[in-house]
Amino acid sequence: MSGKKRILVDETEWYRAQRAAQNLKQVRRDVPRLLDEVRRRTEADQARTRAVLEERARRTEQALSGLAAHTRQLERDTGRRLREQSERLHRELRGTADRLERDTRTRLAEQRAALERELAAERDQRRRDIAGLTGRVDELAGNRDRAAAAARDWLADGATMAGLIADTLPHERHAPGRLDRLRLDLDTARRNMDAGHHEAALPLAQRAYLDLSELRVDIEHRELERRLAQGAATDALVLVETLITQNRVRPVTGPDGEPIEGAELDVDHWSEGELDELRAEVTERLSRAGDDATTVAELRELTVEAPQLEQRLGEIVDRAGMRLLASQLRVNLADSVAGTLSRIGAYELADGEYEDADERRAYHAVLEHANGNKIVVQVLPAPEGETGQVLRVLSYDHDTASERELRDRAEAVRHALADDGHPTGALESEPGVPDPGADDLGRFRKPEAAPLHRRPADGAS
Amino acid sequence: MTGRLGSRFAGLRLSAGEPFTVVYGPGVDDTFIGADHRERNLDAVLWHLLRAQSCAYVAYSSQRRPLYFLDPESEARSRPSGRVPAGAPSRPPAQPAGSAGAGYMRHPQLRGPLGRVVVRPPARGPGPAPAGARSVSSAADGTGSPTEPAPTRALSDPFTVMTLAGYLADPPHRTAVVFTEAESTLRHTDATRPLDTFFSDWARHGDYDHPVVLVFARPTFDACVSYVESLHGYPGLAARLRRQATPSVRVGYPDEAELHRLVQRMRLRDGLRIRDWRELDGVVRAMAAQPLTVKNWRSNLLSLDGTPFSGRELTERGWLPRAGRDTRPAAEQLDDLVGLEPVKGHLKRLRRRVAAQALLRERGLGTDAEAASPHLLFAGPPGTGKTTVARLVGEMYRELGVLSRGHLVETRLDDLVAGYVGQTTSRAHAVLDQAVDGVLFLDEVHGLGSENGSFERDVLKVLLARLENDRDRLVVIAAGYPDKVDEFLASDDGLRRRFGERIAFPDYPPDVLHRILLRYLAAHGLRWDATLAGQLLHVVTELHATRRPDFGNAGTMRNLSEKIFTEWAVRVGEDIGQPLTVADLPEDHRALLPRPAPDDGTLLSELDAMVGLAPVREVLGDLAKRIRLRQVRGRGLPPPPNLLFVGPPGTGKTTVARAVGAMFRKLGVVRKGHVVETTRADLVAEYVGQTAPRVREAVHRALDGVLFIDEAYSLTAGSGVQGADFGKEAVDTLVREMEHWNDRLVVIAAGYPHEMEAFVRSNSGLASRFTVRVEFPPYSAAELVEVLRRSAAADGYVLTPQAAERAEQWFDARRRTDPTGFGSAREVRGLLAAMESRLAGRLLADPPATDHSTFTADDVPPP
Repeated sequence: MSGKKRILVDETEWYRAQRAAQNLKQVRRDVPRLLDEVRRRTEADQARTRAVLEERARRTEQALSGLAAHTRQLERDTGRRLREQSERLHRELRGTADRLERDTRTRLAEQRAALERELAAERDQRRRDIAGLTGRVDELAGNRDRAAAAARDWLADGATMAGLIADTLPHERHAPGRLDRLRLDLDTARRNMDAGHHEAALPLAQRAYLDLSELRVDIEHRELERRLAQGAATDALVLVETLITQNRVRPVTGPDGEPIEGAELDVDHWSEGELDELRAEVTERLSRAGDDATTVAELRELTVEAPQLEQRLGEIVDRAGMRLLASQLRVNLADSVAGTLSRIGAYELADGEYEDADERRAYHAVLEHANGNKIVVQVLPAPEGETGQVLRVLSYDHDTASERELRDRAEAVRHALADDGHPTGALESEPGVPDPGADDLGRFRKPEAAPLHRRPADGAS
Repeated sequence: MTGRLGSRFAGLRLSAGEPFTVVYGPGVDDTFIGADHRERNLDAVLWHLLRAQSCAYVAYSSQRRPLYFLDPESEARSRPSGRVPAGAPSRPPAQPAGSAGAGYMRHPQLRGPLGRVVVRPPARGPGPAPAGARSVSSAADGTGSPTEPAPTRALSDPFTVMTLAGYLADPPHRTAVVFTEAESTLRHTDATRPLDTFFSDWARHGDYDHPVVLVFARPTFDACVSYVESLHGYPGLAARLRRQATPSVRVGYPDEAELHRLVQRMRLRDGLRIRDWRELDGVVRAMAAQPLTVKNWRSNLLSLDGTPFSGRELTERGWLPRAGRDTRPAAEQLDDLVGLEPVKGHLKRLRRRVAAQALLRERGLGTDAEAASPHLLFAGPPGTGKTTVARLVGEMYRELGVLSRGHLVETRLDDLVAGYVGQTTSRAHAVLDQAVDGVLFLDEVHGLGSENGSFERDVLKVLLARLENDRDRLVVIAAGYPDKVDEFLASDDGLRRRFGERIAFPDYPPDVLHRILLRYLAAHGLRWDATLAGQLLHVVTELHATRRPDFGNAGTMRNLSEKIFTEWAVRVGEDIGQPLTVADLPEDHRALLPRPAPDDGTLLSELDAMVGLAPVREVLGDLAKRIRLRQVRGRGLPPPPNLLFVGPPGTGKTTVARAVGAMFRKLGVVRKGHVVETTRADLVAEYVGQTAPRVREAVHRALDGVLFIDEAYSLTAGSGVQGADFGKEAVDTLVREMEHWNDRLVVIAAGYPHEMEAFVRSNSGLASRFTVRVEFPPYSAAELVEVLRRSAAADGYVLTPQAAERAEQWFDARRRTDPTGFGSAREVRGLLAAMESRLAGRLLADPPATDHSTFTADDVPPP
């Protein structure tokens, strides 16, 4: 019982090369398919939004039919333009084929600029329309009856508009208190009217109606803006979620660059649960994005942060993939060391197993010599953040107790490993004698057959 | 089972009971063509050998392929799933890399979230290892044909050791581990320490029933061990190998049969053409004697490239030695050798005997008889063709089927002895390893000396062990001087039992030596006429007649030829057209030329000038006359007599001995007539075993002359000192040598009459050998006066008659005071000195006196 040697096998170069070759961080594998998937998953949202909008348009149309003829025309024109704007902007949000390739912030800025442009155009149009209406009010000056009739019309239109806004638009979200204030204005005009001050009531009623009309457009615009932001955030997060799903199992590329048949990378397993953590976070964010109470600013925040999640996903996949390769590398190294010991020492491989039968753990191989000597080769995973493998050679020599002979043998092993292409550092002697039970690998095996991919609950290695 | 692997592995066992088996030798890199004509590499051969020894599992390891196997069962055991206990669910073996296709993990039982996909292909593929990488591989090859398995995995060294150690730990059946390139594995492994630990642990705690085989591409076991030691990283292994009793397995060069199979294979597969089928056997035999592997020969023969295979072609290309071109049977070559008739006779008998044994054995007869030893002793001086004959004996044994290769490895006994403790054994093993399947020619053997005795005993132990272990694969021929061969045999009882025939190599006769000398001279480019050739024959004859036991035969002729060449070159300068003349003979050799016979009157002329000695002259004159008579009658010369000179000291015995030497030479009784003067101090040593060589050495120096032993009785007189009687040893040795050299040696023993009686009686052999007794009577006073006159005259003095008379009185007075001690000429020297002093004193006291050279009566001191 003697000899316990530790050899650090440096694999930095290999890691760098493998990392480049495997390209595990690139989680977007098939962009058209990815887009299809994202579209499929957001289609329901879009349909629901469209239905809401159509319902509101129907009710708005119904309400508008109660308006006086001239205002009815005005509002109809406005409503048509609003629908046109909404459809155009939504189309732009979804329709751009290259939108996934472009920066989210840039897209958001463009979206906002388009919206601003639409709003400005709308305001110009309405100013011209309203100027036409107010001009006709001047003609009524001096004619009391006609003024009273006109004031009644404005009051009625104002009440209709106020009802429309209150019933169909999320005014409290986008313009809290403004509707109440304009209703007070209408009430004031109605009391003037009831008190017979028709001339005073007319401009007041007219003013109130125009303000209400303005409010409606304003709310419509704000709602449009929110929906656009919500759509963007949802899209971005759905994209990440889709990527997570798509990258849950990855093919493994061999050293020749070709995928290895039958081999797959269970990212969550090899990342020790990191993938599921990420998925949970994305799910939570999606639910926030779907919540109408979420502000535009928050939605924009979610959108902007989505690429970071995607990056995290890449890192998780990369880490998992490298761990898998490192695990294979460990058994490779054990194989190579066994071959070396067989070649130079007439040892023969007797057994090999992962610690706790878990491929993410150290690999142990037991070699036997014809004279009863044994060597246990342990290939330990690199500590977190390092790129080496630690090779420990425990020798059980029953034929000699000479430290010098044992050292000679260990040196011979190290030389042979170096000759076989394993860059090795200086041979380290570990104090103490090897654990007498280290050559029994049966302790790692559970009575039931160990499945290839087990997911023990314990933490990272 | 293993017989079909070829003779190099026949009957081989990879040792059990030792922790390691070392396989080494020149053949380990070779391929092996078995009796079944299949070709295998060493891995496959070892696999079969180990399987035959019921090793169920065999693992191999080399530096290039750290772990590999030749059969699937062995491979399976190296995998943990391969040793799952029965009943347990077996896992599918790991699929080889790449079989699952690129982009998928190698181990099918491993799954990630992406299944078996590889998400990050490594920079450099862990797929099939690059070619030539170290590997674990399995080549299931039951038939063992050498295959190169495809590399799949490359073990790292520390794990290789771990795996191999595990492979040997508690195996269910007999298991072997083979390190196929041990040198490079040991040298280059990154896991020296674990490997050393593995070896040490295995040696200490391992179950030796499982072979651990180390293959070294080293020529000798010792080189393997030295190599391991030189690495310094494997002290345990090195020490163990040093201690290892069995030096394991040597893989040598292919034998004749295997090379025959190679030639046949190449004839069928590679289109090798044989020029003459009749000479094929001989050529292949010559090939087998070369230190070349099957791979060497295959490469050589392939490079013939269409040229037909023949002995001449192989020799032309330098693959066979010139001498080796003689592809005739050994017997024919032996017949061509000059001289050596007794040797030829011996070998013919030997050949008949071995051939008869073989024939009997073919019919199943005589199998129970203990085979006569094939090992031989060659006793004879150097330069008599022993090496040549040994080579031919090797070939003869090969022809007779006694040895598979029959090559000759030459060494000297002393060369096997190393300078350090423990190395001798391994060095001896190393040399013997080379000689396996051939002949080890062990030259200059001798007994165990006191100096290197323990090391030499190590050599003998190794030699005896290998003679036993490699009984059928190794022949040793021990050679040396006859007496040294005797000592060699005496040094261990086992040797006497192992060695069979003893073949004596006599010195070459003069005519053969003459031919050899002329051949050397011709090789120098010299010319001569018939006269000179005749004179050279005479010189050579004389050299032969006066040769000592260490006579160099052909070597002496070569040295003489070089001396003659030098003399000639000095004489002629640039005029190299001149032929040789007598003047070119070196001075000492010119003396050997025939000289005119001496006149009788001059025979003893040297004694004429001496005072007295009348009885001596009489005895010697009689002896000369007897010898003359025999010569005149045409009878052979009698052996020269040995003389006893009996008389007091100072009676001219030494001088007479010189005169006797000259006389005998003139008479032709001895060749040289020189005198070697010795005393006890020269002949008797202080330590055991040194006396006899001293006596022999003195005798050899005196051969063809006179050995003069002054105060000879002192040889026996000193006995009893510290209980060691080396004087007796000297006398015994002397007697033996006198007997041995009785026709070439004159011994003159001199001493006082009484003591000499005791000396002659001390050894019965002495009395019979000293046939002539010469009495040296003491000088009379008148004779001493004459001696005094002559001595004085020699110094320019003159004696007056009065002075002479006074001197005679002086001598008489001396004789009266000391009758036994007196009578020596030495008295004269003492008197002359005293007279000189007195003359000087007289002249000083009387200055006018002018006669400085006349002794007067006054100058003679009073008695």
